[in-house]
Amino acid sequence: MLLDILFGHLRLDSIPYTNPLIMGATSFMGVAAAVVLASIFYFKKWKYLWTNWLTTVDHKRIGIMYILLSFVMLLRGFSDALLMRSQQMLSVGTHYGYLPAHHYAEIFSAHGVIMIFFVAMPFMFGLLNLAVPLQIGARDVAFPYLNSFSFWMTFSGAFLLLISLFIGDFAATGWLAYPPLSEFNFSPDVGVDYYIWALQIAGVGSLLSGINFFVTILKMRCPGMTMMKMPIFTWTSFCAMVLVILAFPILTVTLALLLFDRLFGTHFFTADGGGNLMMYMNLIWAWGHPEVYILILPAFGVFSEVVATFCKKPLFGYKTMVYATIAIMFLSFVVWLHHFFTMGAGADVNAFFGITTMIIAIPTGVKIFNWVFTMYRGKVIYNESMLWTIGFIFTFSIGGMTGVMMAVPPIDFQVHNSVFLIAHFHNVIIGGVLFGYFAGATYWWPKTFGFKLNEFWGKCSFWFWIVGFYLAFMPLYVLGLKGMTRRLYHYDVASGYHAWLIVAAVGALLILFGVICQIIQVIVSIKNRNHPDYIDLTGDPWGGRTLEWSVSSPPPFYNFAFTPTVDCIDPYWAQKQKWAKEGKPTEQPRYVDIHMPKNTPIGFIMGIAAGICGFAMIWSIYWLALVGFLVAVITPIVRSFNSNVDYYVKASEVEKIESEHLRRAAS
Amino acid sequence: MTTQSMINDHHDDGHEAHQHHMDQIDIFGFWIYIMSDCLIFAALFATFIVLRDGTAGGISMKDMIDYPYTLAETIFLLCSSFTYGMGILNSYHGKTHKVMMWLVFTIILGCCFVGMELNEFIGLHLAGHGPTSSGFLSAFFALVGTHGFHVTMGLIWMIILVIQLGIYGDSKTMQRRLTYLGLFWAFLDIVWIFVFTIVYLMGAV
Amino acid sequence: MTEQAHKNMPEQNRNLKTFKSYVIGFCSALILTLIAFYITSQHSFSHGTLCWVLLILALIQFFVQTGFFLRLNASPEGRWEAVPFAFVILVVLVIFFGSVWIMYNLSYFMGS
Repeated sequence: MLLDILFGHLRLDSIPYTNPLIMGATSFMGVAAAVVLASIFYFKKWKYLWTNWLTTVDHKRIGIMYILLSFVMLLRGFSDALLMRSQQMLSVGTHYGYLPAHHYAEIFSAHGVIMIFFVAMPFMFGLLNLAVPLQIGARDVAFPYLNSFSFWMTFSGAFLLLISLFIGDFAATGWLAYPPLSEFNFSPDVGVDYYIWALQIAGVGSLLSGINFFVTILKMRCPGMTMMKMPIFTWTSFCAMVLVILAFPILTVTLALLLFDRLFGTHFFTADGGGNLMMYMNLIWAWGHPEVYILILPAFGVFSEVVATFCKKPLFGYKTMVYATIAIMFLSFVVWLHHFFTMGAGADVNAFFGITTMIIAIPTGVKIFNWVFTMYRGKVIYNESMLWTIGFIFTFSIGGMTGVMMAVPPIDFQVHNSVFLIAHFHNVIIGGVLFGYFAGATYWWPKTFGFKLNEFWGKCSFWFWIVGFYLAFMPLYVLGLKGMTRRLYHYDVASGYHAWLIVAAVGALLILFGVICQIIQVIVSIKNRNHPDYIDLTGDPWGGRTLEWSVSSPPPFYNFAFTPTVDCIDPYWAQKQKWAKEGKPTEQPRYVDIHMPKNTPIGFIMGIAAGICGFAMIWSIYWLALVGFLVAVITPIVRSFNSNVDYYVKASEVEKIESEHLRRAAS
Repeated sequence: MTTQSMINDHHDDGHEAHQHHMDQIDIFGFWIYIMSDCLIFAALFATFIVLRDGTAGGISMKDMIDYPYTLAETIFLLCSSFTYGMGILNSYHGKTHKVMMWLVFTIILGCCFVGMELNEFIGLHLAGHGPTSSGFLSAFFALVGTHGFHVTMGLIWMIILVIQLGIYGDSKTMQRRLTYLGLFWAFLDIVWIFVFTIVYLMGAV
Repeated sequence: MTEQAHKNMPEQNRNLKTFKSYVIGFCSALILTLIAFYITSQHSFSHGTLCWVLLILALIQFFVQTGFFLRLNASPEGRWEAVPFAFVILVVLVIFFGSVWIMYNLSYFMGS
């Protein structure tokens, strides 16, 4: 009885001691975490970590933390992928692989959730944090402390997901947790609860970031930067933020209603008692479809920046790019039913949504043409970012075409929930989102850290990724047409799937080499960071066109000593042309005091408290849930009584930092 | 959430303009948050419409409706919007004590609304018509309850503002906070228009 | 309006909330509410007609409250708030009516 109150349903046997695979993975995670913690102790960096990272409100640091989180979760999500590929390769005929069916289900569910919510979304917000305020000439985002809070909420969500590996189970329902399987009577374990709480907590973080960047882009552009003079990455980010603001509340409601069903026995999505299962699918995809556009639009933005910079030409068709992006933003709200054509809404509804889905491919096509036209007659530099971009153009086009195929309901009826669908969305997400974010990370890495990434290992990783991708997923198109369903745990020899799945597993292995190359790339680059070939002294390693390249690498914490004034697209390029003609200004500028927000532990405390509340709710440890909730709610209230939240950087300090930068640039 | 300081007496023109700009940004940001809240209610309304007939043989709105009761709730909320507005008007003239008074009236009216709603919910639950009884009731409690939850959060916020007005008096920061809450409060009354129309009145016939 | 009052008004001062606007808003909203409750409780119309009338009354009250309480308008400064609001309303309508249409069809064909 006392144990119930103190620990809820949590007991020692919630940890799966007898499962060697889980305990192996847990040990690995544990060792990695221990090494990191031990290093911090050894190098006595706790104070540094607290002051400069855990309590930071600086968008550049928050961006780095997002991307670090994303990469760690990529390792976890990709491990799940390797497990799945190897299982499917082995589980044929009289063999059943090495994973029990229920565990396999947990793995593919975790794989999807991690990749979408804890790799792609944080990577996106990371890139937005790193680049957008600099691109628009701002000192920070509109709401810096909210920015910190958003990150720590995402972190907490990811943390919940990671510990679900060894404390209890994760959901075995697929990444969208459809009822009735996700209802309590069919999933009585804590798995779906982990799912709900991890996503709700991370979802709040994402929504608030959406609001933050939306307001930042609308209201904090430097003088002269009208909307039609913004960099394209900022435009695509802006449209993505509109989608975040409008779509994430739907996810919040849907998961909350599922939680009520599980926790209280309500009848939102039950088969009995007047509930309606199909409403869950409707709502979750009303969120889910805008979600995928949220992920892809910033990637499109990255490509626009990269192509223009590395072809030494202004982007072809700036206006049409903007209109195409806005069109995609509008249209992404009227296509969601294409995810459940086969659920039975009838020909009229299917036809309507099929047509809108086909229409949405058109603005994307416009963008592809514009990128290709930008490359035409440009002085193309085939560095790593351009390789990712060119790889994207081919790969994403194929994925997009299979999408338009499936937009036709009769075709979709044949391939829905087959691995054809799996191949399609991995095609567009890996070829589109991931390649785009990798290109962006490589492109903005020198700006963020002050040194470039090693080109050789980067190119190696690209080739492993792209060849691996095609080997891993093209067979799935074939298999889908042969009738192989998704999430298949075992199949017969007679099906003819085996050979293709071996190829797919090889592809996954190649991607693993790609990931290893990326890790090597980072290590080698850090080791050589002061080497002349790597170091970025001027702040403009690529001959950039937009404002972020006009400050040092890394930028000073206040970004710009003077808020720039612009009068055209690609303002830094124009500025450099002017300097080439007229010479750089020689007079010493008169620096002014700069208003900056103070660091605060509030975001960290609230985020962690929310995570604790989530964990406690999952295990029914109600006293702890209440404590977590109260801390998360009372902390901001207490802060509202605090007036000491900002300060002024003295002009003399600004002068010192700027002079140092000019000295380095000149050397 | 902001970079404002509470005391703003000694700012020169440059700082004044900067403050104005930051205020505008903060208020706009809060408005966009309210826009996202509209989507929460959109999803809940859609769920309600879909589950409206899922009564599982139990009661429907026809059986639950009590016109004077819901009318009284509505009038309490509407009056509270008016009293809050009076508070805002007084804040333009820097009459802090009047502002606090009108806010207290708003809190009282708001508490009457929430009290009546809680009474309705508890009554239904005790009569065996709680949210777990049917899809219709689940959706009813979710939609009306979420609105009531928002109102409750607004009231707690209002109480904190009254306390802060008492401690800090009038200032740009307090102005801004009153504006946020004003937007929030008006938004809740607007959502209630649709709740009483769609859930109560349309359901009753 | 005094110098002091001007200083205290937040950025929305050009959308001047006045006593008059609140009184008009309040009275109109009250009347619309009373009408709605009256015609429903008196069963004055058939179900279909009643729903339309109630919807129209609700929409009028919606505009009354947004206009007089929120002071949302298409003025150059108010546009910052009004345009996002209009877009959000559009998306709300798409999600709401889209969902209802889909679910209605699903229930027709799939019987749930």
